[in-house]
Order: sequence, then C-alpha cells, then structure tokens
Amino acid sequence: MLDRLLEILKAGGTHRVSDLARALDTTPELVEMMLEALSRAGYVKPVATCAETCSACSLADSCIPTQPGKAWTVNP
Amino acid sequence: MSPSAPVRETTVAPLVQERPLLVALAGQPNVGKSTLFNLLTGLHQRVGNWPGKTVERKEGYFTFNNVSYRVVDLPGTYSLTANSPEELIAREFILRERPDVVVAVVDAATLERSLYLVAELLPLPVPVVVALNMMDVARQEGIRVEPEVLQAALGVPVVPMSATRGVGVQELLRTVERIARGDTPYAPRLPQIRLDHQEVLEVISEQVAGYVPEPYPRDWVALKLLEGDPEVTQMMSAALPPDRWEEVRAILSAHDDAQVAVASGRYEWIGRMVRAAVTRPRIGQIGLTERLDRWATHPLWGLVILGGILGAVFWLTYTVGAPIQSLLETYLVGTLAEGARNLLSGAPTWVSGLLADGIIGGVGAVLTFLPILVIFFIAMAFLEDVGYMARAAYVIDRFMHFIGLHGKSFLPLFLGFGCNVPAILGTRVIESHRARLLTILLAPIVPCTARMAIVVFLAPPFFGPTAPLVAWGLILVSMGALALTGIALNRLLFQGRQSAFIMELPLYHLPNWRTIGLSVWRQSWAFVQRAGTVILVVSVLIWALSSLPGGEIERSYLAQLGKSLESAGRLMGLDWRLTVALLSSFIAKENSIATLGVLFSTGEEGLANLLAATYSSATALAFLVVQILFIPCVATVAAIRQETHSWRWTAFSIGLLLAISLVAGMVTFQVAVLVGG
Repeated sequence: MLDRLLEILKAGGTHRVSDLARALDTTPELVEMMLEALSRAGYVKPVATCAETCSACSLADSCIPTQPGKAWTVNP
Repeated sequence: MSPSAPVRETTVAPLVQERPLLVALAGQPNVGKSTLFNLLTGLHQRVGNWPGKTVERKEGYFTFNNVSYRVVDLPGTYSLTANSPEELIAREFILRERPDVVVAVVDAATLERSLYLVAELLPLPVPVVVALNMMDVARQEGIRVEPEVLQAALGVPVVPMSATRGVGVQELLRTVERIARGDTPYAPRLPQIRLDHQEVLEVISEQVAGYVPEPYPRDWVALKLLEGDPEVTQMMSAALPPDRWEEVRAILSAHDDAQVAVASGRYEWIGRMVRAAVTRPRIGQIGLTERLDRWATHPLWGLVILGGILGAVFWLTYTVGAPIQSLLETYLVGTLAEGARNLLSGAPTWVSGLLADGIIGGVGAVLTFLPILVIFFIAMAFLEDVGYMARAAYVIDRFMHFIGLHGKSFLPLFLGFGCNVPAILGTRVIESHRARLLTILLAPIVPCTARMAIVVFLAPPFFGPTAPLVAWGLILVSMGALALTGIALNRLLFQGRQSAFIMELPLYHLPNWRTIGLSVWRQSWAFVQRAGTVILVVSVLIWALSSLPGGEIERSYLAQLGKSLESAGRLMGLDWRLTVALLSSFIAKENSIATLGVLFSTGEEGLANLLAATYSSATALAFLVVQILFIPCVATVAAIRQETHSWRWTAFSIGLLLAISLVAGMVTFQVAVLVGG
C-alpha cells in the first residue's frame, strides 16, 4: 500500500488525504500514518504551516492568517 | 482478588505455580498502558531504569485467580524498528526474556495507529493478546469497533476494555492465563510482503541460517535485514563470515526498495483489519465537511465558489464600508482640514498647508478607509476560522499545478494576499533554487491587502454599482498575470517539471468570534501604525515637494517630476498627478491615496468625488490596473534583495513588474477608450 501511495505521489499533483485514502481503499488516518513513515524515510517532507512559521515573523500582524492543516511535499 | 475491585490485590496470594507468569505490556504512548499497569499492580511496583539507559523501567507483581503474575511495562513505542532506545528496549526484552504473554494495548479510537506495533509483535516468538482499550472513547466519537471480528481477522485473542473504568480487565487476565497455559488455539495472521520480495526474504533467510546468534529467530532477522534495521544489520555483519556477509549485502543493495515493501505489507494488513472491524459513520462535523467539500474542492465548482465568495466579500465591503468611508471623509477629514485652516489662519501659510493638506489630507485620506479594511479583515478572518481558507488554498494550488507551477510555491504565494514581504520570506520552504527564484519573482504579482484596499477605495466613485465587479475583475487580472508569467517563467527556467503536494484539510466548524476579533484587531492596529509612521512621513514629503519652491502645485518640484514622466503616463491616460501617486506607492502602497489626498487638498467634496469629476472611467480603470500590478513596495524589494542575494534579480523583478503593469495599463486604456471611454 505504501508503494502504491508513493507511485501516486511521484506522478505529481495536489492531493487531499481523503482522496488518497479513497484511491487506496483505506482510511485517512492510515494515509496520514503512511505519510509520516514516508517522511521518516525521506520521501516526503512536512511543510511548516503558517501557524508555526508566523510565530517568528515580525510581519505576522500584517498578514492574513492561514492554517491549511497539515501539508507535505514530495522530495525530488 | 476481590470481585468489586477488578484486579488490584494488596495481599499476595499463595503461589500455585513454579514461577509467576511473565506478562509484558506493549503499546504506543497514550493508549492507557500505564493506567492498566497501575490497575494491575497497585502498590506492588518497582520503578528503575533499563540497564544502561535513561528510560524508565516499571515492573510489578499481582495475583489473580490464584495465579501470580510479574508484569513489565515496556516503554511506549509505535514500532519495533530500532529507531529509538525505547523501541530497542521493548524488542530486546521480548526476544531475550521471552515473556509468557505480551499484552498489546491498543486504542480503539485510533486503531490504525496502534496496529502497526501489533503487526511487528505478531511475528515474534511470543503469544500476543490484544487489549482493545478506550472502547468508551471510541463509542463517544462514533467509532464502532467489533472485537470479535477483529479477533477473527487477527487470529489472536482480542479483549475489549476501558482501563480507566476498570472494565474488561478481569476478562483480559483470564485470556492471558488461557493463552499462557496453551488452552486457547493461537494462530496469528501475519502481515505479508509482496511476492517478489518474499522470494528475496527466503534467500536471505537461507543465507543467514546457522549464523543467527541466540535468542533471535532466523526469519525475524532476515526480515529486519531486508528492512534495513541498523542494529540487526550490524549484528549480522559481525556474525556472518565476510564472504557470506558480502553476498547478503549485495542482495540487500539490489533491493533497496525493500524497506518500503516490508512497511507496505504491514499497512496493507492494518488496512484489512480496520476495514473488517471498524465502522465510522460519517455523521456530524465529518459528514458535513464531506458534503460541503464535494462542492468547495471540486476542480471546477471549487474555483467558481472561490470566485463567488471573493465577489461577495467585495460586495459586502463596498455596501457596508464605502458609505462609512465617504461619511468619514466628508465630515471628519473635511471638517478637520477646515478647522485646521481656520485655527491656523494667523499662522504662516505653509503651517496650515502642512497640517491641513499634508498631514490631514494625506494620512486622513488613508485612515478613512480603515472601516473598509476592517470589514475586509473580518470577512477574511471569518473564512479562515470556519475552515474555508484551507479549501481556497487547495483549489488555488491545484490550479497552479494545472498551469505548471511548483507545488511548494503555493504557501508563500498565498501569504502574498496578506502582504508580499512574508510571501517572499516564506519561499524559504522551497529547497530548489530555481523554484524559489520563480516564486520570489511571482510573489509581488499577488495583490496584497494594501493594493486591494486602493481598489476598494477608488472603484466606487468611478464605477458606481458595478464597482464590486470591477474590483473582482482586477483580482482576476492579477491572477491572470500571475498565471501567464508563471507559465512563461516556468517554461524558461524549469521545462515544466511537476511535484506533488499533499494537504489535510481541517473540518468546518462554527466561527470563534474571539479569534476573529483578535485577528481583525491585530491587522487593523498594524495598519493604523503604518499610517502614523511611513504614510505620515511620505505625506509630509509629498506635500513639501508639491508646495516648493513657490507654493503653486502646478510649478512644484513634484509637478516637474510628474510632468517629465507624463509622456509615458499619457499612453495609459494618466496625468502627472496620477503618475506621481503611482510613484509614491513605491514607499508603501497606501501612499497612492495619501498623495492624491495631498494633491487634491480634500475639502467637503471628498477626495473620491473630486477624482471622479477629474478623470474619465478609462483613465481610472487603467490607473487601477497599473496600480494592482505595479512594482512592489520598497519593503518587498528589500526582501527580494535579501532572499535572492542578488541586485541583478532584484532589478529583474522590478523591471518585469514595471513592464507587465505598463503594458497592461496601456492595453486597458486603449481598449477602454475604443469601447467607449
């Protein structure tokens, strides 16, 4: 299942966890676990969301707050 | 054992066996393992450290049904791969001490997460009993787990329980005893790995046969070798003769994807277990989120809805904010300016000019659109808080992929809607140098709040009821320019390479007005502070330049500067005043308004009305198009220089935006004149 997930991600594009779960016939929770495993193995990388990055930013006040949940990108 | 207190026994009952049954409690952190341990052992606990480690070791004794037990609480772990000292301790204990039973404590509410450890426990040569804990929590969350089905699927006993309430603990102990005595058949269904890797596994298992040190099982060692476990690899490289180890190593390096294949088998297995035993009815928040997202994240309808929501935000901003702005301008700025002039009638002309035209005209004009901004901030904070902004992000990101943009560019670009500076600083998340550069070049095209505010301010007097449509169209122009520039630069710099981006969208929920209030307050205060500092200084400077040398605007230094650029401005229908307003926006975007406020010395007519009387709609439209695409403000330029470490790229960015904005402005003006001015 992990290998199928990798195949999907290598093809590129934007995916929601719930879409990936549907494509793999499993639950979003399991997809999230697999993404964490892939992240430990260096295949994907969690993206720091604004909630984390903005705390250190002096311009945070002039910026529309965005919290797009958890996000990952695929390492090249 | 007293029947009322589930298992805790304060006096040790006589032993009926040679040695106590050794039970190890395994489980990930926070599944109630410690609660179960305390419940079982009560005061009969020993707490120390695992030999040579700083990890706490807890051990205790108790008796139940005349059987005495020694129970060891293994460190909380998610797996048994030697990733951490805790994982190593847990598996070494099981392999070396060979407990009579391992109780795998799992959380019924997050079964997927708990089962990975079980998938690693089952291949070990020790029977496992699954304690399906937190059944009450799962029920509360609407998750239905069927223990009998899970038991049949796993092939090992499963005992439902709620350790915090003491429910199911006696049944767990009876099951442990039966398994330890061999009274119950034990046939676990193990996770399988893909067929091609299974053959490799067998080959490795044959290669290491006869060399595996005690007490490690051969098949387990082969599996861990295939998985690339560092401890087992080190152990076997020492245990095998050098030539045999070389052979094994060659097989392993030819199958470097085996780690994924082994883990994949476990996830497949977990998926099967969960599919069989767990039902999650999609009700309440989750059901609502799924229903709404069917539309909000649809490839086409998602974009339409986003456009609609943006349009509605503009409409609301205009309908509610514009009349307040106009009132403030007429009564507050107009009255204040008049008052200042009257009050300072005896003072030198330049003093009353500075105060009435420079400071009140400039800063006042900017401050009057605070109500408009507040409404805009409220709308944005509301959309953010209910969870819609994440959907907007998702829809836009997919659109950006569609035009060939890098997925990681999305977050920084999205920040650009607030302010371009954090957008450019935010490109640090992108490792690829070229992708980062592309994003830095594109970020200033995203219309920031200040630029949108100018549009919000200037559109109504010129376009009346169609103003929201014009504002909405200007955003579309920006996004179109972003897309076209993105496609062009992407072709030039990247040859259109793609990458994936995965998002987990939060559930929709009711807005928290406190969060929204705080966000609106923070942003509004930042705006007021800017008006009191940068915009104040620029207003005074513009006033000075427009008054010197003789006091006549038409002959001032500013007019001379503006007129020297007028020939370029005329192609877009802009006179020297609009050209100067545009130039002053380089310091901060809001200065456009402040400059026009100073140059038109607002009285009771109001700046907006004066502008409408002076300029044609074609000029106004061209000015707005240039303004929304114009070169970034000085703070953004400084950020570009800082992040690219190159004056050349900084100059390129300025040149690029200058070219885009001027071309767009000219085309807009000429077309608008042709269509009917």
